[in-house]
Amino acid sequence: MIQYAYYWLMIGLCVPVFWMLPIAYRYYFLGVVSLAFIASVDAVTAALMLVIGGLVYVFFRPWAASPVSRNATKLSILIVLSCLAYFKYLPSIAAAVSEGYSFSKIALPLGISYFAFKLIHYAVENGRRTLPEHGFGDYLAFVFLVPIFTAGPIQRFDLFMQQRHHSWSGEHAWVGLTRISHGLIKKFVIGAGLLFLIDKVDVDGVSSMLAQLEDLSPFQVIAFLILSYLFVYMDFSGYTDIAIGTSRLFGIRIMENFNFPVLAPNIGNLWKRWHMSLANWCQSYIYMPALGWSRSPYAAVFSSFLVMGLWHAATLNWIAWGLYNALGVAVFQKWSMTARRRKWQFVKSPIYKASTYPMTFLFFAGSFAFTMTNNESNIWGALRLLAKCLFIDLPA
Amino acid sequence: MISENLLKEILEDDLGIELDGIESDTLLFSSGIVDSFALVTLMMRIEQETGLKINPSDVTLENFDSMQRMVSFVERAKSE
Repeated sequence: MIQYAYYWLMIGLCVPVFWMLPIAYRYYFLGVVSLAFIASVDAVTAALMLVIGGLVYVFFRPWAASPVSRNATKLSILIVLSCLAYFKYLPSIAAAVSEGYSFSKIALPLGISYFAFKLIHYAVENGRRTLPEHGFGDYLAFVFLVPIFTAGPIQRFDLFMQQRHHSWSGEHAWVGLTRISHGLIKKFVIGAGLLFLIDKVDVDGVSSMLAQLEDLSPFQVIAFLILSYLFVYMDFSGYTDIAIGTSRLFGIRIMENFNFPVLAPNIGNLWKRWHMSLANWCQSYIYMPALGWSRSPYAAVFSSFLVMGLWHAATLNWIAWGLYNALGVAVFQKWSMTARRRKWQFVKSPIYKASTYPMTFLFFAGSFAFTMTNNESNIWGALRLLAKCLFIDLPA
Repeated sequence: MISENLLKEILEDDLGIELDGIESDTLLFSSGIVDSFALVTLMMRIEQETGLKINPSDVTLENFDSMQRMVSFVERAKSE
């Protein structure tokens, strides 16, 4: 959204109007304006999401108060997931199983992954009857809030309702604009600088890098993965800063999505610092239920990361990315449990503690081998990059 | 019933978790003090001690993220 000049014009016009309106109309206004903006970019997306979002609110929300509430929740989730599967996963699956048939005409609706996860959260919490009291305007603004529509964070409804300011203060403008400027610097200055460095390291793109991999130094590949990690971090967290700052102009505090992941002492802690809103969503709706059903920490960890991988895209590379992270978390948890039970003292030594930071950093940088080769659908290429980091040359 | 003292014993003796700074409302799971291995052990010990069968849909942060929440959950579940 932020690439459109008229997006910023709209925000500039809407902020004063929003604050001049009586409270009862503000969130209707914000929801309708957001929906109108989404429609101006992609009318089909806006119409589709209005229908699905409307169904959940008008039909399933009151149903959840009845004795058959579990069916209402299940049906809401089924509809949202079917929509996600049709647009996001069917084309990939069809392309994989049938060479002759193309689903290329199915355009991926804007922000559908974020929309779907927000709506599932709403439906589940509605079924559990934990949602605060609210009206249609609140719901409309929550579902369609334009600053967070395409790239998150995946806001929780209870926090959306609790963390709103209802009177204007210069602090909103100051905090909001400062946060937007931080985001712009991260995205367009630091991010652009990192991209320039990546171009220097990756020998004319990942495909070319893979073609010449045997001639490259392992340190060049490690540098490429580290720079890719830092670039995605700056780009994504910069976008998040812009989204959080823009929302703050309307007095809405949006949950954080990043908390210095580069400073994580272990991979479990990293996932409390990186894409936090997605990790929290998976913790609530995949991890905890999986733990309850299976009583197996491994099943809970692997199913959560599998969903996280699939949430990004239905490709082997993203699935492998999820499994790589799951393996890291599972091994770390097993290691921690063993250390605690056997009362290993060396894990408390300063040298051990200091070594965990670079190890976590490098392990997570390694996961970018899967994401950076995703466009080429090259899972073998990802494994070759990782092996090269360990001074091993795998055949092309 | 289960008490916070018993939960502290499980945390310290069974799971090797240091109790310094852990209060009854300290968030255990979402803060990373307790991981999923430890949570499974906690759930099984709670079942053992109380005779309760924890329903998978009850395994939520609202019920298990602190000692206080676990005690309240057991009290609620027992009274139902």
